[in-house]
Amino acid sequence: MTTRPSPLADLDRQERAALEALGLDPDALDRPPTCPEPALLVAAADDVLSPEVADGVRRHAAGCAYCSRLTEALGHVYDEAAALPSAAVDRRVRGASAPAAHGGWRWAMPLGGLAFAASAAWAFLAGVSQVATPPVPPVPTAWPTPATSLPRSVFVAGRPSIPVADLDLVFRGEAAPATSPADVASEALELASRGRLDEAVAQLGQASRRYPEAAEVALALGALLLEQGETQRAVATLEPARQRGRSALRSEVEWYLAVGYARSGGLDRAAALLVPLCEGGGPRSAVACAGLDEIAAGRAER
Amino acid sequence: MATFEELYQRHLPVVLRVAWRAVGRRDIAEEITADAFVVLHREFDRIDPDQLPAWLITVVRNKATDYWRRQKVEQRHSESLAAAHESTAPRVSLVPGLLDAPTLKPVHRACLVLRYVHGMSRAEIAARLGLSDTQVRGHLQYALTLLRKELGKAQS
Repeated sequence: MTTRPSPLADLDRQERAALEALGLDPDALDRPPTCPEPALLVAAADDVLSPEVADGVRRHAAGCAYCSRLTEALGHVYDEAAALPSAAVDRRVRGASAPAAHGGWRWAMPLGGLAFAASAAWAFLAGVSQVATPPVPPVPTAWPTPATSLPRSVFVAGRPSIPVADLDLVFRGEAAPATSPADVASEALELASRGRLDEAVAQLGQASRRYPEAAEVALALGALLLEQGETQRAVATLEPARQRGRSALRSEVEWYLAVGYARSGGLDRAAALLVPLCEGGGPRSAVACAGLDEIAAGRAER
Repeated sequence: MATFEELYQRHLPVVLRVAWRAVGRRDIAEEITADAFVVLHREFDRIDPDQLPAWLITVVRNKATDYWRRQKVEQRHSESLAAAHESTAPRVSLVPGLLDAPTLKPVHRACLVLRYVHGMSRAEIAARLGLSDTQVRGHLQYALTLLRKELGKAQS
């Protein structure tokens, strides 16, 4: 939980004097209780919020002089400033598109040709949000499998996206709703994405004791345990969660379970999980089919 | 056929603009933009260039939606959301009419409202707008001076 400093804690003498000259009392400055987060205003205009929340934000902005001016001003500022060079984007894109291999689950770029690049794309997509992305046609590829029985190129565990039940973005002044298992799981995944993997696993471990039936917690914990290399623990965490949660979540659990079995040599179990995923046409279909191809290719070579 | 580099240079500004408007923070927008182009690079052989930049913008919008879902979690746990306010109107009387002063540029208006209506620190404003702390301080000083002049004109 983050603690915000008091508003305008960095008000200096010059700014204070300028405000007083305008007839404003600097000590009376405070956050308005009903105005939404500023970026929500522009996000609502750009249709990236849920319809209900976007409607609420737009209705507020229509009746609030400050927020309507802020929406327009922020839109201009973002548009103008976005044209400025971005060294950060250049670095990441050029680094990822360079021919050398990169380490880390997200940038896995195995050596050896386009086939590996294609498999890394599926591995990357496994870590991308579950929210629909433009359709990627499944292209089975055949590439040399390593000498061991562990297929590596497809079975890279990314991080799942935990769908949170409601998208009510809380406006300031309203009571915060109670924490749900999905919130806890989502928060832990965010921690892990900032490099605090051990802390995220520890939090999820506690949460799994508090919410033993929550599929979201088991899914997030299982995925992160796979990332830590704790394959047996991951399988033990994910197996009981197969029957819980919504169907979309079950597919995710089964995918990560397949990854766990594949990594620990349980190829038959992995294949049994992958067949319905491959044939089901869901978000994991392409990568599941690729996984089955890889298992079959590995077996053919032995 | 255009190379990846050519498409990257061509579409980067619009994709970054959409990302920034969607999440309101330059650092997050840059991350999302870079992610979109990395996915494009890996799928390059299968993407029809005529689908760009729409394909990239779709990826960015989806990631922005995910960002807001995660932000909701952070907001809910933020201590500042737990405080109850009785008033329903902003307590700062930054006269809305003054914000229409023609000499105020959008960046001045944005800094003023973020600072004195939404109560953000200079560092927070800087992060949101992709500016330095010094630039934000400068914009605020300039804007307050302009407002003072406008108020003086209005009163006389």
